[in-house]
Amino acid sequence: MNISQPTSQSIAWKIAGKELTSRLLIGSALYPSPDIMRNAIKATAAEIVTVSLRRQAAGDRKGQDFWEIIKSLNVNILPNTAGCYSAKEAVVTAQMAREVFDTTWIKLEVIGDEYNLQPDPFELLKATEILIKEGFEVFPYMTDDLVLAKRLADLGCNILMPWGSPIGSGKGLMNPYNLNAIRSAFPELQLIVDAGIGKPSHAVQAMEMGYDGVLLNSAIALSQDPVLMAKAFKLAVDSGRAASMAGIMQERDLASPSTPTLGTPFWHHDL
Amino acid sequence: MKDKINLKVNLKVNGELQELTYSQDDTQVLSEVMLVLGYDETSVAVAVNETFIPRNMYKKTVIKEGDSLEIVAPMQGG
Repeated sequence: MNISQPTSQSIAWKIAGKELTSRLLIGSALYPSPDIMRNAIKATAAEIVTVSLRRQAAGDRKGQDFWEIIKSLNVNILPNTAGCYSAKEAVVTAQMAREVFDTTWIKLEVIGDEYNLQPDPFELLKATEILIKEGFEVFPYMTDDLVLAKRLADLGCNILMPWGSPIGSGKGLMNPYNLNAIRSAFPELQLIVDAGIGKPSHAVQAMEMGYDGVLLNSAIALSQDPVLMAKAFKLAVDSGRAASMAGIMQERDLASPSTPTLGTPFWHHDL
Repeated sequence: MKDKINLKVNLKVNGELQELTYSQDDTQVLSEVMLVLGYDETSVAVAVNETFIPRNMYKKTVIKEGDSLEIVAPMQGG
């Protein structure tokens, strides 16, 4: 007899036209070395990896060497617009990313505050509108705001990526109420919690809430053993997805014995 | 025979001022500028004055005094 485990069918999903089995999206930054990055990404079994674009000096091979490693992993590339503070910057960065990485996918980040790197909802909407018209598949990194989610969906986003908490903070899901509200309002969209995940239990929580995936980087890259942590996150995401599909019991205020009371030894009914 | 006259053009490349020298006969298009700067154009993307220039437009994009170039390549990202 097989022990019940999440099957590839139960974990499989379709995002931006691709059939995938992994619901963990992983970043490529902050690892102690390129080898550890490669091994950690492999250990997550992630099929979507985020990358970025940065200024390059003439003759510098670092960018190309990194790109060769990522290409060798045979994953889907999700370029970001990290560091952009206006719609204009983000749009140009997305256009450059499309050419360099040969993909229409873009993780659209438009930062509105330097202190907590909070996305700017107004510039995000402007950039989203332009990029969707230009044929991009926009993965918008957004605050956990229901009205913003509605506006992005109205513009044609198939995917929304609300934050759990600020980038790199590791604080987990700061506002589960808001995340639940977005999930309930958009059952048809692909929802991914992006940023703020610090430990596997945060990823489990997001998946149990019915989120379609989680995107993280620092939690794995900054752990003492990124490859082992990568495995932990893979298990967490699979576990949370299976729990969401299985249906979680209703919470109760009162205790209720799980062991049957009928036939309890020495039981007697006091009248 | 007339001597070639060198032209100097000041550009901003990735935020830093650079002075490039061309002979008068050269066309100052982006593909030439990339060559002079030492970039392999197949592995980078370019914006001129905050406008993206697709690779197939490098030979048609004239670079002028004071233009600002952003030249980017793949990098780690989250």
